[in-house]
Amino acid sequence: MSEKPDVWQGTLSVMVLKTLQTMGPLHGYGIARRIEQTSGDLLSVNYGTLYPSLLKLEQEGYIASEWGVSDNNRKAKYYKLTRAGRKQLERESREWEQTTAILARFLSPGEKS
Amino acid sequence: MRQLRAWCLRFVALFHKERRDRELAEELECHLQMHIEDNLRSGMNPAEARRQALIKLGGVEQAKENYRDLSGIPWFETTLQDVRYGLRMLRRNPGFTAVAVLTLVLGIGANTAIFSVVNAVLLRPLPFPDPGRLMMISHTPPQKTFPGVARFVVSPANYLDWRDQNHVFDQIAAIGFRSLTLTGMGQPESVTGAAVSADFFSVLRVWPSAGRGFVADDDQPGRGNVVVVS
Repeated sequence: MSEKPDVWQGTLSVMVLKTLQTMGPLHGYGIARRIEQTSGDLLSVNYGTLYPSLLKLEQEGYIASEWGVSDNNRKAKYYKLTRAGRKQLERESREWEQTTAILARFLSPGEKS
Repeated sequence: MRQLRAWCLRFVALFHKERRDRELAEELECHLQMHIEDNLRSGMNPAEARRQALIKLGGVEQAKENYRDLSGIPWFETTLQDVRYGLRMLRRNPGFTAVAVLTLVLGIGANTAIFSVVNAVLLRPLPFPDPGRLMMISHTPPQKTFPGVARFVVSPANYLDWRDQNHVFDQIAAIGFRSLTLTGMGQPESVTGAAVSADFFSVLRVWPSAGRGFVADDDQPGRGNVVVVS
């Protein structure tokens, strides 16, 4: 398990926002699980990275939180995307697509100039 | 804007520190339990399920520490703690406190006093154009007759001689301070005035904003009294 890289800061917030967009309101554990699954279990999300990131997003107004009750009757804090969060997600997705596209061009073999 | 909002929330959070910590603890506990349940469901025995979940999630205390750094304003909180500690210590040693406070009071007081004098005398220039070229001329009497008297009132005749034989200054004007009594409008009032020679204002290069200053004719004998009121 230890050889799985932690999620690096900066990308985690996009992943959280995207997860909340596709899944709707979700608790911290759900978010972590979903991110790990989506990454094909290549990433590992622990407390130390997830909760500070959630807090930061909430302080910036991109997500909102609320105590609720989970499927198996456990009290849990649920996070949901706000309107500002939706916009931020769009913006960040665009930026990431651009960045990865540029990098891909550099790294792709056989590119002749 | 977002940054500002975040800082405001962090500031407000300073006052709900305990609730904040409690909620985070609850949230992490809930996270852990959910993880254990999932592990159980996937067929681990309870001990193993718990162990794996704990390994996976990393240090709880470290997570709380990270969270705290972000949720409040750490440097502000530590400063506050230091201040509180300092005050407590001062209260515990009243003697030391008294000496320290007294030292500060005297120090600040003396500094303020000295600065006020220096500011008025040395730093603030005279409120006239070209103050560096203004001189006060006085008369030092013969020390045999007036031992220790450095300044003497200049007699009008001396003034006239100095004015007429002057090669050093552009102009010389005379001033003598007078205490006057203002009557005719209810309560008489004491006002400070000065008797001056006609060129007084032109030496200082200040001009009245309304009316006129003195002209050369004004200080000739038999012209009657002319006054400039400010």
